[in-house]
Amino acid sequence: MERENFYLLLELPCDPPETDPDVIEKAITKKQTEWSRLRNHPTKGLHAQKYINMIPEIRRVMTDDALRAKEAEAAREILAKDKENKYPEIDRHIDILMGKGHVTQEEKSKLARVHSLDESEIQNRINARKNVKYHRIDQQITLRIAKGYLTESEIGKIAKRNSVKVEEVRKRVRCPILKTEKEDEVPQPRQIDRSIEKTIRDNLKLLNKSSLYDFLGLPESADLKSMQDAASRKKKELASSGKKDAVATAASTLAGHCVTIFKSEQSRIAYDISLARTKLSELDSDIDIAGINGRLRPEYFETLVGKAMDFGMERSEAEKYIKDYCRRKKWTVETAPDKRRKLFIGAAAAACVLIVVASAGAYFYISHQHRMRETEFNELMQQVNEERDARAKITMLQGFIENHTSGDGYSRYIDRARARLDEIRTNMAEENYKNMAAAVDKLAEKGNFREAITECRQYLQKDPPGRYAKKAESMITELDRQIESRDFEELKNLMIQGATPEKIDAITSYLEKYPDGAHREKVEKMLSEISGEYFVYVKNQLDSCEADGKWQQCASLCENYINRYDNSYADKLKIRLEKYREKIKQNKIMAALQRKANDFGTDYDSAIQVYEDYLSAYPKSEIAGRVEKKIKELEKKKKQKAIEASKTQFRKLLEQTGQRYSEKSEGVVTDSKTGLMWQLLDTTLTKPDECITYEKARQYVENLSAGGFNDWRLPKAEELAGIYKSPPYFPALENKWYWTVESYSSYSDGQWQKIVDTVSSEHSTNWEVERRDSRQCGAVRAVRK
Amino acid sequence: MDKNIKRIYGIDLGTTYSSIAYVDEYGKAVIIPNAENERVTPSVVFFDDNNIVVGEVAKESAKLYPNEVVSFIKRSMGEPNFIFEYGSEQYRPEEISSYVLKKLAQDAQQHLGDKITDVVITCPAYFGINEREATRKAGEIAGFNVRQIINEPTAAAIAYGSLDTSNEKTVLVYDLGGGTFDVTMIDIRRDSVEVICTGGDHNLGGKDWDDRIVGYLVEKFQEETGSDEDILDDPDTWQDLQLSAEKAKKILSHRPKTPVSITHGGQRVKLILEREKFEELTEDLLERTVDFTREMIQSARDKEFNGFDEIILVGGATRMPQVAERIEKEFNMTPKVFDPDEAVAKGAAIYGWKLALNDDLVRRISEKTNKKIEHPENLSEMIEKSEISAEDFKTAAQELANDTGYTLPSVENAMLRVKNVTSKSFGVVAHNPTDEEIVFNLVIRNTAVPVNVEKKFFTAVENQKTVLIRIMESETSDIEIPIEQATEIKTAILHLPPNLPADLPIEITFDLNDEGQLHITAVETSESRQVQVVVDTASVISGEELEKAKERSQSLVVH
Repeated sequence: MERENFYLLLELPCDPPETDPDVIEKAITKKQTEWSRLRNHPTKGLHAQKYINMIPEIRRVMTDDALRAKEAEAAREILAKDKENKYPEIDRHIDILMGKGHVTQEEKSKLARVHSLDESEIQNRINARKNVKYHRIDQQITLRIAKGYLTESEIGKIAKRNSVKVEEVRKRVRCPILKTEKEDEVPQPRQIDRSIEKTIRDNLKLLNKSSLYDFLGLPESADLKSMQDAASRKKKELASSGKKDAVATAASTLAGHCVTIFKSEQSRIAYDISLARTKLSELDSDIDIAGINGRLRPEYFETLVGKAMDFGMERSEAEKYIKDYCRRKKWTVETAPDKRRKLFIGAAAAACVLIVVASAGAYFYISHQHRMRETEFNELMQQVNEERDARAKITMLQGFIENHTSGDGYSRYIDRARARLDEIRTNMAEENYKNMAAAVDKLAEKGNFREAITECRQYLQKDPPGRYAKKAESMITELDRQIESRDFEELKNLMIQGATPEKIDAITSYLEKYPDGAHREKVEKMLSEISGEYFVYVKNQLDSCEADGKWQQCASLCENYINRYDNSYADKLKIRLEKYREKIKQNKIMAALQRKANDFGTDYDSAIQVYEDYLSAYPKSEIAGRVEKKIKELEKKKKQKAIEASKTQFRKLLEQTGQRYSEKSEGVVTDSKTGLMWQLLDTTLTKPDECITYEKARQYVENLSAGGFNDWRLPKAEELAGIYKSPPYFPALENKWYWTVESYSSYSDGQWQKIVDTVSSEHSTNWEVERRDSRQCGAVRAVRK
Repeated sequence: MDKNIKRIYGIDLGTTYSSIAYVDEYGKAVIIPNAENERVTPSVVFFDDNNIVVGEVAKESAKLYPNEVVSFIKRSMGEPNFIFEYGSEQYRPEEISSYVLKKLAQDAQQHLGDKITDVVITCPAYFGINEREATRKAGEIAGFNVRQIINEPTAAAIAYGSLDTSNEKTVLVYDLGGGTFDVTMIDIRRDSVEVICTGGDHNLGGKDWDDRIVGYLVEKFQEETGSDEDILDDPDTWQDLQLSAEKAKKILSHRPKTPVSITHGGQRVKLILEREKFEELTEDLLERTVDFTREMIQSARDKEFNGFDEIILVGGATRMPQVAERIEKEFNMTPKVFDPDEAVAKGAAIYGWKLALNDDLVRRISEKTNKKIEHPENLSEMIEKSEISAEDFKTAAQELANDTGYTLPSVENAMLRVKNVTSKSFGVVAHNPTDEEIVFNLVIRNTAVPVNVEKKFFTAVENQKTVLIRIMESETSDIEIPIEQATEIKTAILHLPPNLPADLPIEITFDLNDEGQLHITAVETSESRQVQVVVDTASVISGEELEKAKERSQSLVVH
């Protein structure tokens, strides 16, 4: 048996071949890990095991220069051959497309794309296909020989399909030709399950065999006995070899299948059909090509049906197969429309229940009065008997009894009327019960147990049903039991396919709903069985709720688990729950603090005090960090508030300066005397927290855009003096000094320093420029013209 | 003097589930539940960051983290090229198995409050030398003193025999576990449990039944959705289906059908799997077990054991009703399902207990008689050979019974003899007269162990320095077999003394002990000098790698 090429197996480049030992070793280890992972894969496991066992050999070959070179050459050959092997497939696709007489340009380019070839190459193949008609006839015959014979009609069909004479076909047939189609008489053979088919196919592939016949080394025509002999010979052979590697296991599996498959002619036929079905996968790939556009043209459909029939299918079977396939792929199949079959719907006969009321006997008395009374009573009875509505009957009889209770001589009639009344009531009750029971049955049959119970309850409420009450009640009990059973069944199914939380919810709701349920014990067992699964679920959920900081959610996840279980997982969750509870507690405290602080509104000092009190009481609290942050926020707000106050005050002062200064546009004060525009706020208000060095001051004016201007600059000393040192003065809230545009370099203490002229805001005519180190913290009042 | 004898625990290290048992103060074998209060623990290991999680949680995690979870590791025991990679570390099957052992021991320790040091671990009768050695190493990595590796069917038979010691009978133990199949014929007598014949396949078990369901589900999924994608390429789907298949199989053991759902790539297909379909899908697997059983019975017949009194079914997979049905049909005898999940661990515990009693008796006798006892395992043989007097034994046994509170008969039962056979044949590669390479079998399978076989080989040239011995394992009963029918398990190199002539006979002895360990000695015949034998096997973790694994294991807590 030829082994896999190692270059291809390791997915290493072979043209030019990879020769770096490190790269090769890495590739081997990578594959080794991959195969080890797949070691227990349901379908790929055996292949993986085979490859794992090949590793020493792979290492040997790939580390030896000469062997490796040979391996690379072999790999190149295989790749080249693969390309050649593509041709039959391309040809098949061309045949399908040629079914309508020609191949369109669009189809050609699609084929080229699907097979990754040049369009010219496709054209060459198309030309070649035109000379292979006879070859195809041979193929069709061979396919049909598989069942051991051909029929005249089949030969006729082959001839017709290929437009040749019948004799031409017959000449080529090498097996008996039957006059009639026998297949109709043969019962539908049993079929092998597809997954078994696949197992066999996979194992055969592992051994490089095409079929079980090939595996046993016998022709497909061999008789059952030789198959059985060969199978048991094979088994012995395998058993005697001590090997339990993938190849041996695959062979044992196949030998096992041989035993079951070649047990009888019937099972063998099933396998033969399965072999033919393998060909269907070829057909599937053909359909895929024909359906490239998402629809199947009628010509293609015919070709494909022809192809499927070649594989031994009947026409109807073939059509169904292709249509089903396209339906699954959601492609439209374009065929001549079918004649619609008429559907007859039989009317259901309505059942009626007739109740026969027994007629009361009449008595005759001699006495006239007696006769009078008797006549009256008989008339009444007649009316009652004629009346169909039971309620009306009751009213009649009740009327009679009421009218005559005091009358003499009526007593016996009254007794009889009462007896009749009882009888009617009993009948009515019985009928009501029956109606109810029928309705309940109907509902229960459909599974509407709840409605059925409502029906019962309504019945019980309507008129006291007397002796039927117990029956109705037991009916409710039974229905409850059925609901419980159904819920239990649903629960069982859910346990198999539901998601974990669904399962838990369903179990819980069952246990709550049915404290005495018949399946309670089983459900409790289910609950204990999914303890592990549920724990994994909870753990994963916790990861995400922790990440989101949703502690309440985390806690209830834990609580839900702990309430249900008392095991080691629950113990783990208890620890986590403690943590979450602590977090929740802290959150609550935080919220309370916040509420208290908010109550002070803009009295930020008091609000800050709230937090600071807490901090001094619990300096090590977990939320200390958050509290400190709050304090900082409040302090910021407090400062903001102060600035706002300053602004207001500043504007007020500005108004008091008379006509000289006015805020013509927001934030910009115009000096009517000089025409200079000053920024309303200086940096002590716009940048209250920053140390404005001279460097910063220059950046500040550079980047400033206030009042819609962006050509702000630092003022000159005399400009500042113009507003602060001669009345009417520019308002000043406090004494400070401002940077000017003038600066100098001076050498002192062994290094160069920058010295800047500054002017104070003090209102005084007696003043001078002060020189300061550029690194000091000062203020800027920006100016522009 | 310590009144309690040392406890030796029994561990069933299974392909899918494992369990641990001990013998309590009343002499009864008891399963110790794990921390999750389950009697069996899934043999599944989950590498969760720096944690190792074993058991139910690991199993459930397979759906979410398929690449971090290892299952069915037992199937790869003794496979030299299996590697599980996690993070930057590589793990051998032995090490992964050791985590399962650790979990069992850790939970049991917590349950009993008793430190576990000595254990008896079971393995399939069908395990060869390397697989057994790997199992022992797994125990050592987990930090145990592995007292013995015993066969699962033997353990089951011990547990079975312990129930009723009055009857002497031959039983056929059909053990279909999660990953392995063993069939063994065992003679249970009052004072011995003797294996007559054994056979099986360590790649055939409940998992194969699951795999068939998985295959079927994939097929159905493709049919329903019209997709031809192999959904098993997706590790999540694979694990999900694997778990669903196992569940479906279990349900089908007591219900005629079960719903199954397949979810992949946002598509969900629901279907009903019927028992009949399931049986159809797996018929050939069951047939294979029957074949192995028939073969084994034939081998027993060759050894003149012509019948058996009972069939007992062990292993979780025998719960599938078709197994008992098929066996009954084949052998015309109703098989007994015997404690399928627990029998093996319990049997191992009983065996361990007997070892401990034996140790204690030996110590007492040796103190009393001032005699050093060389091979403490063979107390009964020593009495037979009169090396120890029956009186001394009786007194010691009575004292032990008095001290511990066990009954005298149960203490005397410690003399129970367990006899095994080898499930494989062992031989060496040699050249036959026509100079073809063949395997010459020295030990033939189903021979009782311990066994000691000697064979002469000849040096090929003058002054030959070394001889390479390739030790081959196979399953035939023939003495000479073609080399392709055997597997090389070890190689040994003999370093010869200098100046030997050509054609000098060298006597090689194969010594296979009752645990299936093979020792080789060689003697060169010119001066009867012992020749050094170096046995080398890559199949089992050893040397630096073993030490590293042990070290890793020591600091490790499994969850």
